[in-house]
Amino acid sequence: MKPLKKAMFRALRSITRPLPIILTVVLALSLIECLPLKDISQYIGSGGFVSIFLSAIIGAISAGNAMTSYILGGELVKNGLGIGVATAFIVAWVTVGIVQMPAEGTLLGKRFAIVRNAVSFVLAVTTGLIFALIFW
Amino acid sequence: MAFVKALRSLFLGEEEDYRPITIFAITFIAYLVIILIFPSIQSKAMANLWKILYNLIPAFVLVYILMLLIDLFVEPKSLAAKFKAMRGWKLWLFSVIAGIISTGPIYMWYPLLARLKKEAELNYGYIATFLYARAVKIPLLPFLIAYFGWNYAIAITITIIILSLIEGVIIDMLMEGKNDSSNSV
Repeated sequence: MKPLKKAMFRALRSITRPLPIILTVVLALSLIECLPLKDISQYIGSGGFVSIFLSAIIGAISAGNAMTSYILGGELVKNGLGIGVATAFIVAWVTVGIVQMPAEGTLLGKRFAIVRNAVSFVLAVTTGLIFALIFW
Repeated sequence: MAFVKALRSLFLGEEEDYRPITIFAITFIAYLVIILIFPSIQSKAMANLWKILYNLIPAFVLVYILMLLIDLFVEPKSLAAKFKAMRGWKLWLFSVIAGIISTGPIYMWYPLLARLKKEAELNYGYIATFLYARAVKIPLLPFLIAYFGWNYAIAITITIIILSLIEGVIIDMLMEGKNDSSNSV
C-alpha cells in the first residue's frame, strides 16, 4: 500500500474503531434530550448547597449542545432559580459527561474518565457556591 | 477476502475487540424497545437522533482530516519530542488554547487525544485541561451575555479557564503513576 493510502486507512480506522461507542452515545443523547428537564428543575429550589448540588447532578447527566444549557439556565433564572444553581447546572453540563463516560473510558482509560468527571463535578458545585455569593 | 479483512481491521482492530459493537447492539435494542413502549417520545427521539447525526458529519470530516494530516506530516517521534520539549506553563497554555478553539462534540476528540497520549506521551493533566477548557464556547458568548449579562459572561469565562488549569493539576496528582510522560511540571 502507498504511504497516502496507508495514512488514509489509518485515519479512517481512528474514526471507525470508536464509531460503535460514538453511536451508542448518540442513541442515549437522543433519548435524554426527550426528558422534561424544565419540569424536573422546578423542584430544585432557588439557592443553598442542596439546590446547587442537585442542579449539578442534573447538569452532569444532561448532554447536548452548551447553548441548550445557557438557554435553559437563563430561562430558569428568569423564573426565580438562583444564579448559583444555574451556574452549577451550566458548568456541570459543559464539563461533566456521564453519557460520554463509556467512550472516554474506552479510549482514555476508565480510571481517568471516572477521576476527571468526579473532579469536574466537584468544581461545578464549588463554582455554583462561589457564584451564588458573588452574584447574590 | 481482502475487503472483509480490511473491514474487520477498521471496526474491530488488530485485537478483534467485539465489546464496543456488543455495547452498541444492546443500546440499539434498548432504544427500539423504549421508543416502542413510549410512542409519545418516538418522533422527538428520532428527530433528535437525525439532528445529532447530521451535526456530527462536519465534526467527523474535521477529525478525519486532522487525523490524516497528523498521520502524513507529523512523525510520532518528532511530535513526542515537541511535546516533551514544550514544558511548564507553555504546555498548560497550549492545552487551554487548544481546548477553547477545538470544535465538535467532546467524544469526537477522544481518539485524537488517545493517540496524542500514546505517541506524544502526553500527561493526563494536559488532556484534562484541554477537555475542561472546551467548556469555554466563544461563539456562544452572545447567549450567555443575553441571559446573564456581561459581568457574568466574563466572570464565568475566566473562572472556567482558571478551573481548567486547576483540574489539570489535580488530575496529574490523582493519576500519578498512570502517566508515562516526562513532561509534567
